Amino acid sequence: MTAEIGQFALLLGLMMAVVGATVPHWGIKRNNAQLMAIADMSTLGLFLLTAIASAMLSYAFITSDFSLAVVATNSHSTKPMLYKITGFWANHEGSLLLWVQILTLFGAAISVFGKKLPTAFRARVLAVQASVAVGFLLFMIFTSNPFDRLATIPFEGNGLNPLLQDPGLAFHPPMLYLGYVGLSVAFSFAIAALIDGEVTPAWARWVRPWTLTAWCFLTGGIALGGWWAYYELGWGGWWFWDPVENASFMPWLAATALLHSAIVVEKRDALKSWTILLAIIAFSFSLLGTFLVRSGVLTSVHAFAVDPARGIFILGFLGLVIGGSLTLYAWRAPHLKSGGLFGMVSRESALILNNILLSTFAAVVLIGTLYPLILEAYDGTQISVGPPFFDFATTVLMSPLIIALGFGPLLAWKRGKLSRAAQTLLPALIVAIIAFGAVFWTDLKGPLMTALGLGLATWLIMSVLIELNKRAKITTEPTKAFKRMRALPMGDWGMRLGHLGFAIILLGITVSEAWTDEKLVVMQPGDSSMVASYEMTFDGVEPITGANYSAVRGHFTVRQDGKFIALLNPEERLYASPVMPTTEADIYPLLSGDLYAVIGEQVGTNSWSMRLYFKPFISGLWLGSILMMIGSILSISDRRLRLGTAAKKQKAEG
Amino acid sequence: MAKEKKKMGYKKRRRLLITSAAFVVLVAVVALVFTALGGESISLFKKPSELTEADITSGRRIKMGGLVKPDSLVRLEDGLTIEFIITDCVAEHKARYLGAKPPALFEEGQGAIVEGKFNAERVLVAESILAKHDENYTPRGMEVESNDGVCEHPSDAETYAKTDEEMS
Repeated sequence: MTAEIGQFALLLGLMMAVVGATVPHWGIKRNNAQLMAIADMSTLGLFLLTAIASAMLSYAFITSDFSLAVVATNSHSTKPMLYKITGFWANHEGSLLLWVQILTLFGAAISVFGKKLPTAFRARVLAVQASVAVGFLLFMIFTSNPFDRLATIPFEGNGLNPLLQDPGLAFHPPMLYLGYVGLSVAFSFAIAALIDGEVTPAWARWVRPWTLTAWCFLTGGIALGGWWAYYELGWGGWWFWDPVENASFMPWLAATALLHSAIVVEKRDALKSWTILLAIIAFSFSLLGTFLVRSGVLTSVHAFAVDPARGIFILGFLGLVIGGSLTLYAWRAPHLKSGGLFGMVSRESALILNNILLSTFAAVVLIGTLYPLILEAYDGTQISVGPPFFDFATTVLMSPLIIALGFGPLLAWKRGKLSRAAQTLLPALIVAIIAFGAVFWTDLKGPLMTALGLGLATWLIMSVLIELNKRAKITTEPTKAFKRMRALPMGDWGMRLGHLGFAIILLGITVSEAWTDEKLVVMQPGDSSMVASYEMTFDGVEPITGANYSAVRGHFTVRQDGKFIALLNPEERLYASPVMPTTEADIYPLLSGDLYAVIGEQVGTNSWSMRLYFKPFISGLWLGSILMMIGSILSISDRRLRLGTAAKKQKAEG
Repeated sequence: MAKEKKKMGYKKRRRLLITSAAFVVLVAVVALVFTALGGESISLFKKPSELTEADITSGRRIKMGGLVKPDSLVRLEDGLTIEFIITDCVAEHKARYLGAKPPALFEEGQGAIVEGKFNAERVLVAESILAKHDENYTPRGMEVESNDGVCEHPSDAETYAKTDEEMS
């Protein structure tokens, strides 16, 4: 019964979305407030209906209702409750429902928080948002219905892939989807502005907080994914440049570019049509990413043959949305009035350089990801593009970005002085060169890359501090510095934290890549192995039993100079359903880095293969991501204040 | 009027500069794509029977996919290296992997993909192994093509057929 309610809610939602996608446009044309108001009503209605459908699917997962195909293939009655709940989105059909759920959530949020938007414009935005929902609901209902029943009800479900039974991954998809789908707001604003033919600084003030929200979630989602890979896969790696990861990285790059270019629109009324284009591109990357991952087309084009209906629908929908919005752009963008002049050396130019580099980076990642697909379609050769390509591109494109990033915040709007910024940044340059030189002269594996990475990271950290010092005059007037710092706009603090987070991630990557110590050894109880300056002693193994798995747990004692540091207990688990072994690394984070132990296979009567690591400053990755997220939250809080004043000003003027 | 004209000229010049900067970056990147894609970053993905003599002797990166031949998996003396044969029932090649343990689901009679280069003894020295549906998802074509009728089918292949696409 519950499944039928869910099914019914989805169908009703589809109709609601169709109404919401069409009627408001008509209302705006006839200048009819009642028809425009339908946008709000259908948006809220659609949100409630999707919420009902989601509740029904959750209920089916929680109660292990194996009459539903999606529950039977992906759940199991003995699975812990947390993973029964998250089982909702750990499959193709459910994750689509989650997508639509978040899409309608953002629609409802625009409707509720956007009361100050001009009514016609809000109706337009909500209508575009509803059109996207129509596409997704059609796709879900016709090709991937989560409420499909099985003709014969199995007694027990197949279970969830044990690798996914993990708290890190339980929240990774919703977080990532909040990011992907959050970009739909910027997209809807862009399309609505194109239809209306006007982009104002107020437009950018609206778009930026939404983009920042999406960006914050996207950053968190990607970081969670990396963190999960790091501790769950047992390889000590956190990013593999595989197509699924790239699919999330491309919208992140585009969103990063977008939130920088939106500043120029807001402050200087320039770069309008480019910003619109970026908003369209960012969401297109989201769609492309979602669909490439969901259809399985990335791993091989054969996936299209597996389910032709899905593939064709996906291609059609992508073509319609991306092609349609770009056509609209080509038609309307030339009519947008361009404003604000600025010189070659200015804050504006620095932000443009940022945009050029970030979008080129996104284009390169796109080429690297799709090239195997194109080649296979062309002559049947199957290849894969590996990390060296992407690493190279990252170095080439991100190095100038980071150098320019030091200058950007110090340049004035309209016309800045490069020489003056350079003078201010001199200490940063000196520190960076010292860091570069120090690494370069010590003998290390790949010293040039390490030196470059460390040099750039210190340059960036120093330049952020110098910029703060310049604004707050900490060194020249220390007594008033605190007062000054409190007076600095939140948005600027957001920027500083964001840039600092970036620097710390870079530092984490560089240090952990260069100085990781890895030991691959066969050990008997009592054996010790030196990993970096730590002595890891294998004390033995014990069998243990978990809720839906059995495991062998290894015991390690870690000492440094004979002093006890930590116990490590990595596990080798065997899940019951589906039958699958997994590796549970045990990680002990120290200030200087992570101790990381993985137990391998039993190789003799009493000996085991082991993988032991010391990963210095790997936590920089997570720390930096958190800083970036806090930075975006600070920026959002600033915008909201300014939105209030803008609205007041508007009222006073009008 | 004259001022207006000057303004336009300036704007145009600025636009020209920006577009040319973007163009230069793009050209540089395209050059990069072509040089980098030619070398170490590309792995050819082939079945054992599709491998040419050049693939084996030239030392280029290969991804070889097929079944792990039953009774071929051995652990070498050091306790850390495994050696096995990858077959597509037409041709077969020996592969070697050094690691604490192969990934989950790597078993004799199961599909696997090994990535690395052939050494002078015509053994593929794998830097990574992808077993079917482990964390490094498996290209889809392999599981269907490689077992086709000739080799013994792993009985539970169907059960996990979908797990790879859930690894988002």
